[in-house]
Amino acid sequence: MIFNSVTFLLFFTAVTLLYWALPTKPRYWLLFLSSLVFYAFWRWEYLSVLLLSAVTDYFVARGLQHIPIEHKSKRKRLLAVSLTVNLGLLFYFKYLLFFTTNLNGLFESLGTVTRLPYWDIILPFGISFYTFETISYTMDVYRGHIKAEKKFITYGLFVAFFPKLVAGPIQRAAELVEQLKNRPSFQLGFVSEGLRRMLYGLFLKVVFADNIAGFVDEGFAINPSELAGLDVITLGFLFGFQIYFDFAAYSHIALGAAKVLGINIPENFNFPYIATSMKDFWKRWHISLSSWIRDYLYLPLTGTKVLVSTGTGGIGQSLTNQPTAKRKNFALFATWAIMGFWHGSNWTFILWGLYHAVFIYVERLLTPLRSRWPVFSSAWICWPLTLGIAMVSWIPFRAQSVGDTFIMFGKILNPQTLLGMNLRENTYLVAAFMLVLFTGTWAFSTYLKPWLDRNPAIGKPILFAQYTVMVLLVFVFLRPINQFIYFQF
Amino acid sequence: MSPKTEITILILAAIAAGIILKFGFGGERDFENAALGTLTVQYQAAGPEGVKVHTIKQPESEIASMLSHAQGSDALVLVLGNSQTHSINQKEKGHVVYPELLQNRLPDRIFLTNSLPNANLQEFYTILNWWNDQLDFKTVLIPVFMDDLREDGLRKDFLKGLVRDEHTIEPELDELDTEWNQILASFQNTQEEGTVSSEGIETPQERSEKYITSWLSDRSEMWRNRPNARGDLFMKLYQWRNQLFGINASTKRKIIPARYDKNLTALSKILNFCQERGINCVVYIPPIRTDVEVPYDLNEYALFKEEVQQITEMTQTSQFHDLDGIIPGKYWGLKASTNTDAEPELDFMHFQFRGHEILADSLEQILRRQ
Repeated sequence: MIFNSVTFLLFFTAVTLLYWALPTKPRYWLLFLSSLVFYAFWRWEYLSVLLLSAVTDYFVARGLQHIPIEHKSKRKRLLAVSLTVNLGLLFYFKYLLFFTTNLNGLFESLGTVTRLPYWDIILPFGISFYTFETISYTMDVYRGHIKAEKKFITYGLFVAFFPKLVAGPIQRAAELVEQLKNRPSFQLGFVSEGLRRMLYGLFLKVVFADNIAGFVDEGFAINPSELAGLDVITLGFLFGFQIYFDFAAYSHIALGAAKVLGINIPENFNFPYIATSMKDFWKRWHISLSSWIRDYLYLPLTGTKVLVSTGTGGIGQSLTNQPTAKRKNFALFATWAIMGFWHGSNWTFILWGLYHAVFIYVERLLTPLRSRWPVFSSAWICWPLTLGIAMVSWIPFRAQSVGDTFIMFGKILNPQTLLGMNLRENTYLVAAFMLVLFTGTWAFSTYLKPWLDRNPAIGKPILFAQYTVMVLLVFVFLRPINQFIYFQF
Repeated sequence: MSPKTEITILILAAIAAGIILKFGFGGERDFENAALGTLTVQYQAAGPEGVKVHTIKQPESEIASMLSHAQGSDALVLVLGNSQTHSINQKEKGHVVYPELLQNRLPDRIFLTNSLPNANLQEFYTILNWWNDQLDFKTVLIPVFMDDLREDGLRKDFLKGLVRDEHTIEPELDELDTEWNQILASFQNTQEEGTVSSEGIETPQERSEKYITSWLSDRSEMWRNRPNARGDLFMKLYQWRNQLFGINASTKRKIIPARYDKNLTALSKILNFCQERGINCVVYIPPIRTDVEVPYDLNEYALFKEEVQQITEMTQTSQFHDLDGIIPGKYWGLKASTNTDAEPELDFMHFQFRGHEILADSLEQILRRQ
C-alpha cells in the first residue's frame, strides 16, 4: 500500500480506531495482521520473502541467546546463517540481474559464446529495509546489546510494522520492541502530533515531489551531450529537491502514522541541505541508514567495537580505538561503495557512493585547517560549497548510465560548456524557487516558529492559514501516480 | 499549544479548505489553451454538410468520420498546425478557419486537418507517420512556428489515435525514432488517476484505489472537480510568474538550443519521410504580426527562417514559402492578459477571420501551382 492514496488513508483510519478501541493485548495482533495486509496490497505472494527473512532471524537470535558467549565459532556459524539468508535474498531479488548483465558483457568482450540466462525477477517492496532490520536485530543479539525476543509476534511486528516497512526509517529492535511491549494508553497528543506529521508528509509528496518530477524527467530525458554545465547543475538541484521532498515525505508520514498509534520512530531527516560539510550532510540525510552503515559496516571495518545500537546520529561517531589511516580510508571507500550499491544495482549508484567517499576523505584531510577558519566561513563558504557538492552528487544517482554521468560531469568541469540554457525557463525558476523555499522553511522553523509558539495570539491564525493551504493542496493533488522513489531500493 | 487546540485548528482548516474549493475554483480555464485568452475562439474546420474533417485530440469519433470521408480519394491533403489553425480572433457568425476555406475553394481535393496547441515538429512527425498508415496523402502542409521549436517531446492528450492503435515508428532509423517509440510505448502504461505502477499487473492497491476514487467521483462534485482545481492553480502560478518577471505576449522568446536542433532534425525526418513516399510537402513560415516588433530576437528569427529553408530545399518533393508578413496588423487582435493585470495584450499567433482568408489565398495559390 502506498501512503499517497485514498486506500491508505481509509486503511489507516480503520486501524487507528480499532487499535485504540481494543484492549492492550490484542493490539499486537491487530498491528501485525494489518501490517501484513498493508504489504499484501502490493503483492501478497511476496509476503513469503518478508516472512522468510523474519522467521530465519527469529530462530537464529533465539539460538544465539542459548549459546554461551565462549562458543564463538558456533555463534559465528549461526550468525552466518542469518547473513546468508538475508544477503542471499537481497542478491537474488536485487543484484542477480546486475551480475548476469555484467558477466554476459564480460563474456561478450572476451569473445566467448557462454551466456547466463536472464530471469524475470520483481524486486519486492522494502526488501532492502527489512533485511537490514533483521540483520541488525541478529547482530545486536550476537553482540549482546539486546536479548532475543521470545514472542514471535513482538519480533514479527518489529520487522513488519507497517508505517516503516517499505522505506524505513530503518529501526533498531531495542528502540521499537520496548515500546511495543509497553503499549502506552491513549493520549490526544499522539493524534495531534501524528496527524501534523502526516499532513506535512502528504503535502511534500503530492504538492512538491510529484510536481517537480515532471521537470526532472524531462531534463534527464535530454541527450546529455546537448546540455550545458548550468543545465546539469540545475537538474542536480531539482532532483536533489525531488528526492528530498519525496523521501522526507515518506518519513514524515511513517513517523506520523506510528505516533498516532503511540509509537516513536527516530527522525530520518534534519534539513540536510543546510549542512556545512558532507559529514554533516550524512548526519542529517537518511539518518537511520547512515547510522546502520556506521554500526554494522564502517565501524567493524575499522576494527572498532560497537558499544551501543542506535538508529540515530548518522555517520561520524568518534572511534574508540585508533585504526591506521590506511585501514580507516579503506573502510571509508568500501563502506561508501556498498552504501551506493545498496541504493541500486547499477554502477551509477556505486559511483554515487564513491563520490561521497572522495569528498568525506577530502574533508578529513582539511579538518585541521578548518578549525583555524574564521567563524563566518561556516555559513558563507562551507554551506554553499556543501550544498553544491551534495546536489551535484545526485547526477549519477539519477542518470541513465555511467557514461551519461561522466558526460554531465564533464559539462560542469569544462569552462567552455559550463554556460548555456537548454532547459525550459520554468525548470531554472522551479529550482531557484525550491532553494528559496527550503532555506526559508529552515529559517522559519529555526527562528520564527519558537517565537510563534510563545505568542499564540499570532501563532494560531498563522497555523490555521498554514493548515488550510496544506489541506487544500493535498486534497487537490492527492494522486497515487508516482510511487515514493525509495520504494525501488 | 495543547493537542486539543491543534486538532481544533486542523478541523477548522479542513472546513475552510472545503469552502475555498467549493467557491474559489471554477476550473473553467483549460491550461493547454491558456495562450488563447478569452478573445480568441476555437473552431474546427468542417467538410461538406458539416462532416468532421479536423481533429485536435484525435477522439475515435472524429477520426472515424475523417477516415470515412477520405475513403477512395486520390487527392488527399493533410493540414498540420497549431492553435493558429483552430483559432479565430474576434470570431463572428459564419467565420471559419483557413483549412475549411481551402476545402471550399479546391473541392477536387480533400483536406484533413490535425492541429494541436503548441505543436512541435516531433509531434508533427509522429502524427504524420500515423496518418500515413491510415491514408495515402498527396500533399502535406507544414507550418514551422519558431515559438513551437521551444517545445519538446510528445503529449499523450493530443495523440489519442496513436495511443489507441499502439502506433510505433517503423523502421527505427536513429536514436530519435527510438526515443519517440519509447515515449509512445510509455503512453500505453501511463497510469490514470487512482492507479499506481506495478509492472503491468493490477494489484489490490490499484483495484481498491480505482474503486474508491470512482465511488468518490460519482458522489462528490468537489472530488470530481479536482483536475479542474489543479488547472486553476497552475493557471494562477503561470500568471503570477508572468507578473513577477514582467512576461507578456510581446516578451522576446529566446530559442532553447537543444530543443531547437531536435525539432529541426524532426523536420528533416518529415521531409525525408515524404520524399520516400512521394508526398508533396509544403513547408511555410506561418504568419506573425509584423506591424509591431516580433517577440523574437531578430537575428535568431532570421537565422531560423534561413535554416528551415535550407533544410526544406534538401529534398525534392518539398517547397519552402515564407508567409510571415502576409497578414496586415489590422487583421490581428488582442488576447486576454497572461498575467494578473487585466490589460489585454497583443496576440501574435491568432488572427481574425480576414487573416484566415489571406492565408487561405496564399496556400491556395501554392497548391494550385503544384
